[in-house]
Amino acid sequence: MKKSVFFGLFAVLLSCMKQEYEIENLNGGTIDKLGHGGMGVGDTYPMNTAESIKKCLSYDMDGTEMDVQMTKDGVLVAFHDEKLDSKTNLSGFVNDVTWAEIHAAKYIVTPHVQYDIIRLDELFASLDAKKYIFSFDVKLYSHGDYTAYFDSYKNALISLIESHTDPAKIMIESQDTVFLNMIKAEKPDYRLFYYPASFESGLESCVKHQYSGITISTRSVTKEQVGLAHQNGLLIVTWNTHSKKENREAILKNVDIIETDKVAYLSKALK
Amino acid sequence: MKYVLLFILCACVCKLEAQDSSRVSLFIEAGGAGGYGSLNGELDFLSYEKWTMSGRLGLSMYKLMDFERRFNPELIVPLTFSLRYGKKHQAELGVGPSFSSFPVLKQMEKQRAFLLSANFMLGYRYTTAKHFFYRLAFTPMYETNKSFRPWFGLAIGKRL
Repeated sequence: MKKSVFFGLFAVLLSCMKQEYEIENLNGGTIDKLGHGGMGVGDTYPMNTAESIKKCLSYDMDGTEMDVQMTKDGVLVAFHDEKLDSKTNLSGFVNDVTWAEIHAAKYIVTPHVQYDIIRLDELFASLDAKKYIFSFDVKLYSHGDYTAYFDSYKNALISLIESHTDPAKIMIESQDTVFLNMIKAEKPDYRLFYYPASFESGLESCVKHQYSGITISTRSVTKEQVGLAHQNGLLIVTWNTHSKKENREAILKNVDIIETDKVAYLSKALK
Repeated sequence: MKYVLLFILCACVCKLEAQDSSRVSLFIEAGGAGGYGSLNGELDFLSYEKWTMSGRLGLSMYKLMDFERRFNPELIVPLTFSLRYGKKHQAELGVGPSFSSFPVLKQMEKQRAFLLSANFMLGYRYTTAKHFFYRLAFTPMYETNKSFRPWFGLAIGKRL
């Protein structure tokens, strides 16, 4: 009986001990800890709300990823889904409505509590924004003339970055190489990340266009592929780290940046 | 005006009947008018043959800590007036307001928001010989900012 109590306590003690990681990556042996749209998928605050982002930054995090869309009148807001219908009381694309309309919209995901969609300039003005890493997941949802839309979006994004943040700490992620190349032509020093369909296509595009790295689901990349990207001078950013196990796995793959859905856990695990 | 009189009448009856503890129930509800779940008290304030009118007052909290990780709970208070028909097996119909109060950022300023919603209920209740009851109900809500939410609730409780 005494032995089983002893071993039980020992097992509990072991599980409480902090695991030490030896990380070999392009980030000086450290992994940048970012929230995924703030607190991530599982939190009761909807992703990309000011509440979720503020809560994420209240932990020992390096910053957060956020999904960026542009309204009809050129205001950059944080919103994930293709259409507003899925999570708010508005409908259509963000780019179909003006800021005034978005401002009146509410996230209605959870019964009895409602949150606003935020504009990024207001958010950054309220934070010590230069202190944090922000990863902008560029969501290019619009109708019509994509050339003009991309151009306005690019100008709005550069203006936001230059006026409110430390550009060296900003990451721009996109699935669209045309958009990334437009940014690169104007701001060659910006850190650009391609979000590919597969690791192989990502590696090829990033090498070709000389981007900073690949943004990829942790489930779609192996430790060996991370090593291959590093050999090519590319950083690896992972997301889809919903559980503690997936966070641990991402760390063990030696990635450079994790966009986590387990903010409290990752902030402690990599302290 | 007749609704006001009816309400006053119900309130008077309620006051008289409140002394009879056998008409008071406590129950927990998963889903339902409280959102994800609530603790509730219920008072049967009017009974006539197989018909019973009751009022329910609940409390629900999603989070105790706010986005600054300070104690600042989200509070939801559902209030429902319902009409039941039957004895052991009952059909139940209800309506009432739900009040919620929760911390938010408005123009990045920390504030407390208040919302009023209407909750509706159409359900079935089974009561055991030992006064335990189980209720399964369709509990849609109509919330501020014009959002209609289909919702369900499962309640388990006991008449005291």
